[in-house]
Amino acid sequence: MKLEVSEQTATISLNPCLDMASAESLLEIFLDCDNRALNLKIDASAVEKASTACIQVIHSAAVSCIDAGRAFQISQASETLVTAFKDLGLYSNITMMDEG
Amino acid sequence: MSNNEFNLDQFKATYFEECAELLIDAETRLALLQQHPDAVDVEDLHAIFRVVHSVKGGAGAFSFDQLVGFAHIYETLLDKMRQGTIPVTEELITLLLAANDILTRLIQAAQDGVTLTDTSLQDITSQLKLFAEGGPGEQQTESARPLAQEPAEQEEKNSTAKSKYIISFSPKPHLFQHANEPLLLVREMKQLGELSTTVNTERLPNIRKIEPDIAYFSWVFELVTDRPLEDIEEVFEFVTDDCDLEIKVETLDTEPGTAKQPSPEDPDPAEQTSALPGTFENTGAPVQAAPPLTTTPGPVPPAGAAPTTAKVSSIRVDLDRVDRLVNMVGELVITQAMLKQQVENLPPEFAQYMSKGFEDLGMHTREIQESVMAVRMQPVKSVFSRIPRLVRELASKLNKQVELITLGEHTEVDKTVIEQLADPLIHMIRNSLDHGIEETANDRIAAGKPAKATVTLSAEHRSGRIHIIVIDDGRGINRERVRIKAIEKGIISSDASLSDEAIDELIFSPGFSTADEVTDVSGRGVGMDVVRRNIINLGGRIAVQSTPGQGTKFIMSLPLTLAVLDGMIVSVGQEKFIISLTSIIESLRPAKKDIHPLSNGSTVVAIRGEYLRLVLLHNLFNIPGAQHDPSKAIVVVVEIEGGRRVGVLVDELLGQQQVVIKSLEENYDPVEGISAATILGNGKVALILDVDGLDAMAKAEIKTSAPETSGQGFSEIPQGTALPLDKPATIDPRELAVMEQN
Repeated sequence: MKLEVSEQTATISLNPCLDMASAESLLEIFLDCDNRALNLKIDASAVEKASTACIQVIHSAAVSCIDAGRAFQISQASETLVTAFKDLGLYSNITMMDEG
Repeated sequence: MSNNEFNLDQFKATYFEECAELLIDAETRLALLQQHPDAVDVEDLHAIFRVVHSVKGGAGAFSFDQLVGFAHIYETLLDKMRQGTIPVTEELITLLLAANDILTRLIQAAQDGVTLTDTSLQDITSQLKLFAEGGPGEQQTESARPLAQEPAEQEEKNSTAKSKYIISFSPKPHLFQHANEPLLLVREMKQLGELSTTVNTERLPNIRKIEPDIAYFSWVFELVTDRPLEDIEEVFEFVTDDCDLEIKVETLDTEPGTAKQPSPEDPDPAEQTSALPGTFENTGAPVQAAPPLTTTPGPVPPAGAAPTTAKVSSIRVDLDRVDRLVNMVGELVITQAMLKQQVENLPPEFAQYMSKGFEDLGMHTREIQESVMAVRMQPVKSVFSRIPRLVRELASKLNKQVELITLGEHTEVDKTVIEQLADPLIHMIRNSLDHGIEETANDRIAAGKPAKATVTLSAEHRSGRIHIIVIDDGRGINRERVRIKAIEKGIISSDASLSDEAIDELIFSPGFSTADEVTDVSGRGVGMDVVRRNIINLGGRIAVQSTPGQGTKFIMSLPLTLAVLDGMIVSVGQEKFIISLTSIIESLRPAKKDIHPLSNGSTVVAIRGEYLRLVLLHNLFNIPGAQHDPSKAIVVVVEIEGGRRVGVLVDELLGQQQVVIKSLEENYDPVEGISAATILGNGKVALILDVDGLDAMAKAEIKTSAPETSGQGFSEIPQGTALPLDKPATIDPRELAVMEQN
């Protein structure tokens, strides 16, 4: 996972593998960004494997970010991630994805 | 669990433990297929499929991609076989066995964190694909053997009637911790028909409160499919303990997607999707949960379509925890004994007052101990299941026809014993096939036997122990050859005169082998010696009986548990010993006229017309102050290996007590004639007698004290040798002969 901060926006480049084991490190990054009150921009172009655990974390980060009045965006989402969101019934999230 | 404590390794450990159990099941089922290729039970194929599918599911959660890839190809073939689209042939069963081997190795590789890189993986994968895609042309000819359930299933599949399943799936928080992945379930359902999904995210907390290993989402799925309910249930088969699951079914008209009684409250996925806000900013609120399923009207579900209710009937517990529990119960037993002893020293009025309480305490302690021990008991099936394949492969390698019969595979024994049972058992089976069974079928026919040899493997409880018995109907031990080989290897002297049984026992001698050539099956002479040593280390014994031309029988006798035993405390001089109650037949004080000293230095006692050899503990252990006159002491008649009996001479019987076994090997050093130690109520250590070891010591004593009889058979039997089993004789006939001369 790669984190770049520019002004008040954090750009997080997701790893290709978002398996269950990755959920914790993903959460740590989101918590760091939350502590710093950053807008979030997620680059999901590299994701080749997704898990429900990671998608839960992403969803929670998104909701928390928006509730706090900050921006959240997933860009260049890979087909794998889009399919995973759809499979889990998270249709709404698809609409804000800029599919890669 | 806090976020920082999230540790995937513990789930991996659970996964690998489950894999080990699953593989045993698969192996057992494959063995059944192998045994009856003409009458395949489709349930066996279902079971193997479930194993592979389960392995794949967990592997996916941990990103064991190589394992997932192979398991997927393997299960694809199995799926087609169980559906009857690919017939079951012996060739295919052989391939499944090889595939199972690869699966086992891939699991091991995943556990070791390495990638499997040998050609057999590619070979088997290619073959699985070939068969799954239709395989060799004849696979789908009319000669294909249909499975028993195929017609009904096919009819069902041909039907155009579709059903709508409304599946309410609410994972329990620990779902991920058991390596389950909802995405995989969804994808499986998608393969069954048209699926729409409604997620409920109400339980999902803020990012500051979320824990990455907890499952928060729940779902309601609508699946329109022509597949039966069982197929839907099968998708969730491995998560039923980790979720709340409810499946309701509505039968649709023949036109797909038209419900007979559509519910106005049913969520329409398409509508729901479009109804959702178009930007993420508006979706901060959780997605609405689906309406409660109980409000969905519909026809009465068909029989068998009752909602699935998950029941937890077992839990997985780390063995270390059970071991700690067993140890603590052991300490409790000791403490109880100590308290009881202290109470006996109190004035009678207090002791009487306390006695009832101690009775209850004793009863409850015993119940706790038995319950805890039962936790560790497992059927020997887990070991026996490996044997059919071993026999098949060895028989093929040795070009022999062998039928294996297994009996008593549900006999239970302590897990610690089971773990160490496999290697000796495999050695014994190898030995039977390689040495026991005739070289060729013609040899057997010439001997008046069926061409196909039989090896019987059985387990049974006997006298508080478990007996594992391997019997072959082969040629028996070639005693002359064994004797010559033993002389060649310097195990015995060339002029030694041994009984048949003593010669048979030579096969357990270190370095002994009659094989002229060392093969990969046997012949290295490290087999049966190691078998015996391993068994003795377990507190067990092994004996052999052989009849030339008719076969050989190996009997392993092992304790059911290595933790506690019911014992009789006896005293000899100032020393106290424990004799296992299971080996005691009776105790008595013999009359002077019934005691007969023999010329070789031993003593026998006549009991109801039978002569029993006396084991004089004070002699064997040099105990001062002990009662030497048997008529003033107590003879404890014990049963030793082979159903024979000897009398152990002790001063007094002090009482029965359940004792906790403390290993001498671990805490001190092995002592001949002593199997273990324990701590008595007064805090002192007492030794637990090994009655078979005592018998062997007594024989050795006879040998050293009677030089004139050296070379006369009995005295030449190596130390530690057990006499043949199943012979009721209570004394060696040669000893009787000596006695009569007196």
